[in-house]
Amino acid sequence: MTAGMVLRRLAAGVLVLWLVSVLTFLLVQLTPGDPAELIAGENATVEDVARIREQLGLNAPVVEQYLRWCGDLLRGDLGDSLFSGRSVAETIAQAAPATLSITGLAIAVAVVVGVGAGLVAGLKQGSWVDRAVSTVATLGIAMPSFWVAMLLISAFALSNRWLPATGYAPLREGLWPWLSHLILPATALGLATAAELARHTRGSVCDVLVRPYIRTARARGASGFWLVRRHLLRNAAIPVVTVLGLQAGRLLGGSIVVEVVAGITGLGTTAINAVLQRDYPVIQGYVLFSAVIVVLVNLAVDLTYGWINPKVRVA
Amino acid sequence: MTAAPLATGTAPATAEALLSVRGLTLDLGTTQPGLVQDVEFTVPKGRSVALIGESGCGKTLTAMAILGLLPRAVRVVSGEIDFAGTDLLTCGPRELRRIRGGPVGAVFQEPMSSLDPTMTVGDQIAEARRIHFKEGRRTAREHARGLLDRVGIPDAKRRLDSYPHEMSGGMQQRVMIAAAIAGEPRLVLADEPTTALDVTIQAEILELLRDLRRDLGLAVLLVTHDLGVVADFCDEVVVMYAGHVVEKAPVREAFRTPAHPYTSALLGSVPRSDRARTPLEVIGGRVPPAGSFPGGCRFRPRCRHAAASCGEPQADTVLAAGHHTCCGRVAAGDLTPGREL
Ligand SMILES: Nc1ncnc2c1ncn2[C@@H]1O[C@H](COP(=O)(O)OP(=O)(O)OP(=O)(O)O)[C@@H](O)[C@H]1O
Ligand SMILES: [Mg+2]
Repeated sequence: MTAGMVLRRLAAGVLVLWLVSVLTFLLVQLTPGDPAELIAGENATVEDVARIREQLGLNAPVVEQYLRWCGDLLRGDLGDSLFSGRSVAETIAQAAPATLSITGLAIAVAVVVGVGAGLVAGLKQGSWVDRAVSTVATLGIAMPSFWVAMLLISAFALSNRWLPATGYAPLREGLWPWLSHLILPATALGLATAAELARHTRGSVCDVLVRPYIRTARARGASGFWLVRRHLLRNAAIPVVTVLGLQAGRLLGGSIVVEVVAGITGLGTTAINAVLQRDYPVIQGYVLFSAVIVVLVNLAVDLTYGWINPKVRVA
Repeated sequence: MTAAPLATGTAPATAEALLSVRGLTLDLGTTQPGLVQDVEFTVPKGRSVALIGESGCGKTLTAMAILGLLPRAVRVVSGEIDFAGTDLLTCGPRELRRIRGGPVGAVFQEPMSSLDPTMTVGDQIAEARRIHFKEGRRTAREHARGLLDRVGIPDAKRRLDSYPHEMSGGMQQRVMIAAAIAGEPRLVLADEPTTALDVTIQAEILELLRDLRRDLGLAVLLVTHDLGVVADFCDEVVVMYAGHVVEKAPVREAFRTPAHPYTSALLGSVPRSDRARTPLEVIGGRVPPAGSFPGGCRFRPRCRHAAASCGEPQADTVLAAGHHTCCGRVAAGDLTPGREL
């Protein structure tokens, strides 16, 4: 992948972020009625509403409001929470590690389990392993993650006390405390993605195995592990990487559910509380932060894609 | 018999066989007649044998059976494929892997889809060296550079790091050939190596194959539709029709005195001055689909000379040294070999 392409992808990412920022800004503007009143709730005094209006800068013209908001944003100032009064940036910085850990680990689980199972199923097409993987994958896609989380927690944390049932320990407290709190929610979250990846990997492997270049490789004496590693994996990975990119955004959003089940205070729980309390600055911060992560993940996927598929590199 | 005496330059029938296929029968594991039935032929050391016939005659399947790379659905019913003393049908996967890409190299039809799009051409050429000679990356790469040079690709050192899609079809086919000879084969199976290429490029690729054959003493089994290629390049020809070998002969004899109506029709359909690219449409009808081959001579429904006896199984008859036909009417003397057969 050339530097020019990376720059183009970066530019596209920046454009997406800008669009998200506009939408996020309009989120407050488009609220029917007076957002300040809505935010303040039914029992608010006139002073309360005025204070909120002032805080949100709703008295200025829209364009001026937007420019001011952008200026603050670029300085990293996302405003303050209407309820806790803490800065939104700080709120998010505190909640993000747990969520990013769960999501990252869920992706790792999904890739290892999903790609592994799909690969074996594709290589042993038609065998009992293949059928077993298909069945489990269908189940995995059908089962909601909160339910899987509850099952896992009851099996591994309540019936057997092997792992903590709830809560979160930051990485600085050690690898195992961190990991032990995350394994169950991350597995629950990653399971559906693993199933999705397994199906795509299997399909892709089957598709690649009958390609003429695999026959050519065999005709050169390639077989077994050599054939898989040098010819099959890269070619089969091309469509799978695209799917993974789409799933990454879904996992970030899906984290909300398992956070609630596993009693972890992360971005998801923060966002839910913000929505329930109509804490607009926090909601805006959450949306923007998620957008940044999704854009970064997609950039990483594009780069991986270019690395795997040489045809993209010259495009 | 009326067959002409062996012309100079044709293969003596006694040349030592490198590859000999005997009684090869392949089917789909159903009750329908074999896709390939009782196929027999030999490729002598250092010689070039053409396998010709219309689309769907079983040429590719025969070549794949030699490499042990038949599609899953296709089953070996019986036969022997003897390569330098090893029966490739019974030797087991390990021995097959030793032979594939080593003593037996292969070149396929569509270079674009037959080369791995995610691997540099250098790595693909080096692959056989690494597998069969256990060479390290660097040594194998050095060899690959030499091979690229050998197959006539300019600026070989830089080209090693190219990907197939960065090359023209002709260059890709040169890469395929380089990869096929990397394992120092004694036999190369070439399945329509020029069909997908432009006419001018075809001639270059054939020229390259001819040079390599001479320099390396390669035996070649060339699958082709193109009778011009056969005349140019091959010593002997094996004609297949609907899974049967209908005639085998030294090339000159096959062209001068074809001894099967199908061979004759093939030759008649291509005026020698003009290398038609789709030669066979002049014969009325087409090869029946695999499930509905007629009993006896499978060419019978399309044959101008068909008689009642053609419904019986046809025996292989030797007309002259190295010249076989399975046309019962020729064997019985009803028909005289020749182009007007
Ligand atoms: N995987 C497969 N499953 C079922 N039938 C097959 C398979 N591969 C080939 N056949 C059948 O076997 C017969 C011979 O095929 P083959 O590819 O050997 O023909 P060919 O002589 O090489 O033709 P062409 O000139 O088109 O390459 C055809 O009738 C084809 O339909
Ligand atoms: Mg073919």
